[in-house]
Amino acid sequence: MITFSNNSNLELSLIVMAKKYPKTKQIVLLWFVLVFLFQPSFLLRNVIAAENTVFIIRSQQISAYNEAIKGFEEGCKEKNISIKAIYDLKGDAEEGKRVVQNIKDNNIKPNLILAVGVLAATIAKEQFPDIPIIFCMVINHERFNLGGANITGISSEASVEDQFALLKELLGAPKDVGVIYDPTKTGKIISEATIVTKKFEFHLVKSEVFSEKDIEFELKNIINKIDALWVIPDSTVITKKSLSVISKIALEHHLPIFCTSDAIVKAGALVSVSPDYEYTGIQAARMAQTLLSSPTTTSLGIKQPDKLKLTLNTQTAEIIGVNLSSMQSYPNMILYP
Amino acid sequence: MFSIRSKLILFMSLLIIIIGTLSCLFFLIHSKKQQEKTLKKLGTSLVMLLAQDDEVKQALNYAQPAFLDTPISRIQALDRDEEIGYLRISNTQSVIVEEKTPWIDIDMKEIPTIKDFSITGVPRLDRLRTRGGAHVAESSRNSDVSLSNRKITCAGKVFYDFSIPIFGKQTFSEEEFAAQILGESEGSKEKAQQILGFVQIGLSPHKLNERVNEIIWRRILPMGLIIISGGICVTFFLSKYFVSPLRHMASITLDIAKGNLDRAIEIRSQDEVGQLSTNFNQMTKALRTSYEEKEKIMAQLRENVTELSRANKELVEIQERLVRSEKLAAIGKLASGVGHELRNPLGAIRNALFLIKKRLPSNGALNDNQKLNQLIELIEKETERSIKTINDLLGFSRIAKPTVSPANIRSIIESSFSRLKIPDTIKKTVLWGDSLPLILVDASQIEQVFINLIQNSCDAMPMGGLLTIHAQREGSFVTTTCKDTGCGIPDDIKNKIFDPLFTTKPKGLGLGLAISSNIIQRHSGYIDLKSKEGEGTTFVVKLPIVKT
Repeated sequence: MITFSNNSNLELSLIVMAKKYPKTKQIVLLWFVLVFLFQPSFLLRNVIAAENTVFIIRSQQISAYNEAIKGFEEGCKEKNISIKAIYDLKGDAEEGKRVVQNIKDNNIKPNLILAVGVLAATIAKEQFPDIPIIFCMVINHERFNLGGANITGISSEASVEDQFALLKELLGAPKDVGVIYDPTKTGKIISEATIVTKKFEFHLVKSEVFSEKDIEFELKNIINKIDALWVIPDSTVITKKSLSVISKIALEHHLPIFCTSDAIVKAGALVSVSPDYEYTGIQAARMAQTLLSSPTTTSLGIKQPDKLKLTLNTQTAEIIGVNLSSMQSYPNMILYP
Repeated sequence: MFSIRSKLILFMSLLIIIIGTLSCLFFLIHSKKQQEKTLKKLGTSLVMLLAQDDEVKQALNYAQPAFLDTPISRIQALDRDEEIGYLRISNTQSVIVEEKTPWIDIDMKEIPTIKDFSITGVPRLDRLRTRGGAHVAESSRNSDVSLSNRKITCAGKVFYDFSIPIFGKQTFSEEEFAAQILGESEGSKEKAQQILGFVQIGLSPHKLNERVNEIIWRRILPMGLIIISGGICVTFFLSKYFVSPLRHMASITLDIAKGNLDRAIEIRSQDEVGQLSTNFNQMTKALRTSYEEKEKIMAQLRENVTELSRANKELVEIQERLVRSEKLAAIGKLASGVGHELRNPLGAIRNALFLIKKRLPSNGALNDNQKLNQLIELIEKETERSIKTINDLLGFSRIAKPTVSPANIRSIIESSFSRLKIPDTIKKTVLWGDSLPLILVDASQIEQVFINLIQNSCDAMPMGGLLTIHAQREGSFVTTTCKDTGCGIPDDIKNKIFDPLFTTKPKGLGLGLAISSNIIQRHSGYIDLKSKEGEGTTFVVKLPIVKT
């Protein structure tokens, strides 16, 4: 389109020049003949260029990311969006830089970039400030300052409100809910949760930790004051070692754990609310289509996932003695094991 | 014995020396640890820089020592104090580069090469985390997991050996966390990190020792000396400040102990010493008050005792007089009775003798008559003597109540002398005091007293001697002494000398002094004697003067 427009201007100027200088009439005629001959190829090029190109940058090879990419690919079908390449950063920042350099060296500029995972999102934001970027599957995205004029994202956690709505449905009467968190990492979530819990008539028992070592002590400190434990995606709190400790202590006290990760449910938590990863990809595809169809729009902000799934550990429910009948009607229920 | 100040100075100095020494020792240990820590930090930084260097990784991947020149020279540039003793970079099979500082005389073969990850001190794989693709000791708070850090000794030299494995690619930590939250992918499960090789750096502690020595000589020793000398000086002055009030107090207490209760301690402060001084002053004041009260009571007591002894003496005297008076009264009564009964018959005998004598021829020459006359004279003489004795006894019993009138003692004594015959062997001296006052006495009775005393004195000096009479005024009395140089009176009979019927004379009745004593008492006067056997006797008579 841009090429076409440029050619028209040139033709006009040539006509003016032919009128001014009659001797060049033949040359102008020749030019028109040439333009006429090559016009279809220009038009063809414009038709090809109308198909939007997308690069997918993936942080690493994990199934959740792959599911999201799969969803995105599905969502892009027949939407005039072409996924030109999928780059894998292999979880390595150096690799990420190398990949970005490679993209830049090849002088290929996509219409949109889908960044899957935090590494991909941060590198893409840093390296491609002039290309619209959609990120997804970034755990606790608030920590990474991923806002920007060209950044659109889908949160990888269910909203705090959704989580507590589910908890209320599950536990019924207002209860004391404990949470262990590192204020340097998830302080914002807790601030938001403090307001939300009041709305649901829960009392949030907060316990701050700054090291993995303190988790056991802090948990034992609050365990008798709470009716449920809320595990948030905090990298200080969630480690392989601490997860097993938290699960063990909670089960000993018949305390339900609810969280945003089905992996933690598999480790012994009662229930999790998490996005449907594949549907997140589809949602990202829809957002990509919106962005690409309106060149003036470069960002749609950060959205909540449209579709959530519920993962429930029946074994834990049995040990704790939770009645699952109210949960049976939930549409996207995954029971484990 | 040491004074309290010396003890204080000694003790405090000892304490300061110990504290100073311990502080220096602590500071030394702390400084040494700090220096060691700095050295370890340097070693850690250097070894980690090498381990993370991409050129090093490439060199190990391709086993090209030439690629290591630049990273090594970068590291050497960072070693400003030339503390790197040796440096060794090896891959898992062989040593790629091995360098040592020229001035260190060691054989690199003696330094153990890190080939195995299980060597003690080498951090375990799971202890390392990555951030942004770079190795970071997850616990830069915990040095033991950062890297191998050993002290090794080689050819008599000590090195701090820092060893660390060089890893291949690492996973971004947040992605690890994401994988954990989102569920492990099939490909990401515990993929073993590839170890490309090892970096080993040995830091020589020579600079550390130099710095520690510098700290010792420039900081610790001066600081220790300042602490100790300053502390001792402060102790010296402090002890002086604290002990001087006590010393002052001690000197004052010594004075007080000597009886000077007027001393008081000057209160210089309001602290415990000040409080002690205040209390001490109060105690001294109380003691002084008590002492004064005691003195008053003692004076009163002494006065009372004097009074009592005087009263007792008077009582004894009165008792003696009473006894004497009673005796005299009894004797007088007896004498009066006996006298009356004997005087009349004796009078008749005397009259009869007078008649017999008249009838006998006065000029008869018969021997019988002469002898009869002699016998009659003897009877007459003895009868007269008996009558005289009886008269004396009667006179004694009939001492009348004195009729007093003002009289001159001088005239009384002179009158007494006139009625006596003083033997020539006795030298008489009479001394009169100036302006002798009149005395209120019965002159005839007093005269009798002096007659008795002078007569006794003359009797006491049968071989002659000196009789001294001295009259003078003493207060409200005129005192007259009658002193002889006779044989004196033995002490054992002094008390009896005024008793009636007691006499040492062969022909005495023992009434003279008793009568004299009685007369003087009736005049409210005093009579006493002072005598020493072999030296003489002095009688003292006190008679009241006329009150104007």
